[in-house]
Amino acid sequence: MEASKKLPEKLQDALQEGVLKRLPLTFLPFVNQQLREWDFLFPNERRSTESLIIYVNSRSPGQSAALFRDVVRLENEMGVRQWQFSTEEQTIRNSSQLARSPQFQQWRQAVQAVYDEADRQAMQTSGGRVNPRNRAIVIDIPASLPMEEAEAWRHWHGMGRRVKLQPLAPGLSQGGLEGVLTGLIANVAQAGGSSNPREGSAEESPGESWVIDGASSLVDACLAEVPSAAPSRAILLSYARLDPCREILSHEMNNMRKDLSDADSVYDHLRKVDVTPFCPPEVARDPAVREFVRALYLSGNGAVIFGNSFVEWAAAEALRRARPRLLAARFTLRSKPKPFTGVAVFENPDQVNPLPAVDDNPGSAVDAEILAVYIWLAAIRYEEYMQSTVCVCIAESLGEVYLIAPPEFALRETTEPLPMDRLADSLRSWLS
Amino acid sequence: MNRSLGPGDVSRRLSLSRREFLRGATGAVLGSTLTGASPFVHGEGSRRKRKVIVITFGGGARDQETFAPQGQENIPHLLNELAPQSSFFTHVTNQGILGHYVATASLATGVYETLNNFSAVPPDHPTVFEYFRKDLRRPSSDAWVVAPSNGFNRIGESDCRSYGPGLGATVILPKHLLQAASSGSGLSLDHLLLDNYENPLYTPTLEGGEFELNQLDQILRLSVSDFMAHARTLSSPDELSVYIAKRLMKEESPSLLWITMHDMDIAHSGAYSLYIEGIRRTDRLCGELWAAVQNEPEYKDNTTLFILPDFGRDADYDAGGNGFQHHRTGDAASRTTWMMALGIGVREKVIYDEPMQSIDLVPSLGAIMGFSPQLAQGKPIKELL
Repeated sequence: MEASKKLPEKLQDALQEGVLKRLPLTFLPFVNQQLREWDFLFPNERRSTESLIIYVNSRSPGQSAALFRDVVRLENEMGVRQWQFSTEEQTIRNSSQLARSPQFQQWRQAVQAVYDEADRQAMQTSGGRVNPRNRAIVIDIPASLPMEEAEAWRHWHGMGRRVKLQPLAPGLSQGGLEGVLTGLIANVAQAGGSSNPREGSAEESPGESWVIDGASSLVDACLAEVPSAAPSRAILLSYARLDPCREILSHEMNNMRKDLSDADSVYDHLRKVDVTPFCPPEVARDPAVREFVRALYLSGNGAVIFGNSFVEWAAAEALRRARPRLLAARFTLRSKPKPFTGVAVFENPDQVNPLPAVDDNPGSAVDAEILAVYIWLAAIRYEEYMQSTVCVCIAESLGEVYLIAPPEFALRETTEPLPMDRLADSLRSWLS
Repeated sequence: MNRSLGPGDVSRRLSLSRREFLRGATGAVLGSTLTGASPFVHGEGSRRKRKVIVITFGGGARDQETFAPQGQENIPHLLNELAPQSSFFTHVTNQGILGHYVATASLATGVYETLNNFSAVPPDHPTVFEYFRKDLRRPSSDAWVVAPSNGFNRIGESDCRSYGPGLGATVILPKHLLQAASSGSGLSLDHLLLDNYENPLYTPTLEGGEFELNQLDQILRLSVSDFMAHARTLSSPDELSVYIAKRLMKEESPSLLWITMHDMDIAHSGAYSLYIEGIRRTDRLCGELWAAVQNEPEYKDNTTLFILPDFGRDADYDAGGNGFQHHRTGDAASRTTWMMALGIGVREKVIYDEPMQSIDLVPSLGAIMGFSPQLAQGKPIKELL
């Protein structure tokens, strides 16, 4: 998965001037990997790496030494130079060595302080503006996941409020929601510029809409209904449509680990597996999205096992890495784990245990209730989402939504049962 | 939400909430209000008979799913049956590496170990089993470990020169036994051994020290077919572990038995309901094990049981984590936990708020059982002495 390098000119200049020599040892694995995999980064990630390197390059040697003083001191205390420490890429061995060090927490804080300083400088350079555009997060917990009215929103701890939806005609609930989302994606697409997500500099923002589906109906609807220019600007991830990709990676994991000596060897091998033929077209065509999916599956977060874990982890990573304006996520139904199937270890329980799969509707609902909150919490870690983001979590089984919205959002104070199309109009207008 | 509190504040608050809840739920009193001599009897004769069982959770559980009010429905046995008989320590911190093997190894040595969590390596410092056997001249049959996954197979003894090989505990990995027992039957259970929830990419291979299949019959008086038949009635690895532990108690009656539960660590997969199910199962199994103690003449009235998670899990609001799923942030919720002690020599219905560390367990066991854990860095818990 080697990326070609098309680095911005200022960044190339800084690298030629030897800026990497000024970075502490523990910064190099991350920075080198980011530079090598530039094509696989989202604009927000490029901006972050670029601003750090250009900031360091803009300082005198003495100033940059001062910037990294705490990190370097901690590296010396930890004895990093005596470690078997890769400076080319982030490895499990690296992480393990760092985590085993008594100075690990201090080191994390020192690294964060450097990034905070670089971000402050970048903010000052740009006139102190964070991208002010309105954003929305729409989460759907489908009707097949039965939520209990009294318990449904307990994990939200009063961050927003519940609003009843006007009942839709029977059978229309999912279609209604899909209509809302595809309309919103089209809206975001119209507000954007280039239709090619990988074109241009880090200043542009392709992939402003993300749709993450624990099954496939939502992504299928988007592919069918969104105007032709939009899909290339919306990143569409369906757990079910990614089945072949997940299965090939699971197969590799389960077969090769018998022959390899450590987790890094396993990880290296899995990074080289060509998954493109196993990805649906909307993923295969974009290397950054394809590698995003691979990273999700290799991060040990359950994304390869359960559709709902995939939804939450993909959403959290999308927010961290790409900062989309619109993120739509739909949870799904999973089966009950079968006894002794090693559920969390990349096994397909249907292959391991011949018992028929049984749906776990209540368990899936319990999972979705808290994972929905985690998506919102993942968003508000970032400044872009703190002020001007509307979050709507739809509980289809209850016929209501949980709404978190800034004062400017038209429906913030509404008390009446809300028609779905009015909610859609308000969100469209919010994102326009 | 505890976003504005520092780690120390959060840690104290967690401890206080456990205390208040337990006082209400069990009618317990604060340990600081008690005076008088220790209930432990220090006579050598009593020590020789004394049994100690340690249950650790090698998959942390948070307060909100256990001892906080909203979690109480998940732990009816711990709360209603065991806590009223126990001394409960509300403020146990783990200042070491938050990986299950390394943290459990730290619990067993009384030193914050720094070994690679994902390698099959022995602890650097002597384990409680080595101190116990060497100092008290006990045979290998007197110290056992029942552990959940391959990574734990070296936890029975260190590679410390003055202790080490031959002086530790025998480690039983029940899933490994099940896999071995099933070979040749046409039923492949190899997948059971790919069981590391923390790092599913790699599971170390077994390297010595573990219980072999042929010992099923010799030691546990259990035929392979009976073992397989019983295993088929169970639904989880922890149930299998407790089954093996009860069998060991019956056939070998070890004085020092260490069991690590693992089911709740399925939290890493992101399925909250399965994590809760794991906690409920562990709660039930703790109750079953205590009932087994009461039913085994060798254990009844001379056993002290310790129950403690190796650490917690990340808080929902820590920006570096992903809530219940992991223990990667090192925040207060992931480092602060509790310990319950019950049985012979332990005051009942007492709550202790004084901070202690998880590495204090081994020195406390040493003081209780009469061995000297010289290299342990924790301190004996004075409330247990």
